[in-house]
Amino acid sequence: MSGDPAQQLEELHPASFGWALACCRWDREEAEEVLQTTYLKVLDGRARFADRSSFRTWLFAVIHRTAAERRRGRWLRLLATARWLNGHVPPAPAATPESAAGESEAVLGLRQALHELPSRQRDVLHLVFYQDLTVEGAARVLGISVGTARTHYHRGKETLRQVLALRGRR
Amino acid sequence: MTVHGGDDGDGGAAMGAGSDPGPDANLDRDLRDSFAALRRQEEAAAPGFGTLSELAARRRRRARSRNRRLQPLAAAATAAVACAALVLATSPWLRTHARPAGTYAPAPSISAWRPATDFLLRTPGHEVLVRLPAFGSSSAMGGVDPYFRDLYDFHGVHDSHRQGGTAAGHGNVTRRPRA
Repeated sequence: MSGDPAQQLEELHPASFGWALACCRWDREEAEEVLQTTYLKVLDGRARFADRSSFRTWLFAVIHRTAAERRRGRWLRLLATARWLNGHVPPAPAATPESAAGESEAVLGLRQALHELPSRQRDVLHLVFYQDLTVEGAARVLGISVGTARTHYHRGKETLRQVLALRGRR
Repeated sequence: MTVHGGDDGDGGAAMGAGSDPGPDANLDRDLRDSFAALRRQEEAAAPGFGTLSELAARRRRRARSRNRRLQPLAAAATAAVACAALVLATSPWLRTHARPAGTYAPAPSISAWRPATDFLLRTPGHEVLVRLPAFGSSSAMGGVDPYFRDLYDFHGVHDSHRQGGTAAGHGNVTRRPRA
């Protein structure tokens, strides 16, 4: 696929933001940072598209890797601080009250249920149901085998069904 | 919306006209609806592409200007280290304190070398193992530890060997009561 990378990035921007949010466990600020870094990588040529997949699949893989790098960096910084020595680990960021205010109950419930899923299962389900990718595409984005992605897909759906049923009963 | 997960043979693909959708198909449909709602909300709240790319460009400019500021510092530090190395290498102090060539002890040959823990391997009777015994003479036992030489009569051993060396011959090794 050829074309102006900036234009392609702009076309995929809303979907990229959704994926960045999922990679950062719905921490909006972190997602914006990840997206900025990804755009810089693409525009500076540090991440190069080699036509081995669709541009979208490749871009999502770059976003996923960038989010993982930032997460690792943050953990390393945490390790260096006294807060870590005191055993204080900040909780996973949840939806901010402002963003939660405008959300329907179903969406909020789904997001909270997704928080309870292991990250791989959550990522596969997000890519398949949110981003309209196939299981093969999701595997390519996450850098795992198709068989593994399929296993995560089925287990994730089962776990999500149980979590949502449990929440519905409460 | 395209059929999700249909390529692995389940999900919405199973829903045909007139057929009863299974619980899995219902779950897929529910999930798809919920995710679609989530996507609508998140895309509506997404920051503009222009804003993000402008922020990214600003970050790049900031990083470049920081690099430009740091470059002279890095060059100065490198030059300082190089100068220090040069001064040290050419200083008369090093020349006077340097060990003259040939004062180093020669490295021992591998056959002459003995480890520092060699003495630990020297057990009583060690000499018997490293020396060839001579038939008809007890001089071979000359190196035996005096304690063992006193304890056993080794002459009997050599006599028994001369007579055929059976196991019974070892009975000639008699224990002497220690005084």
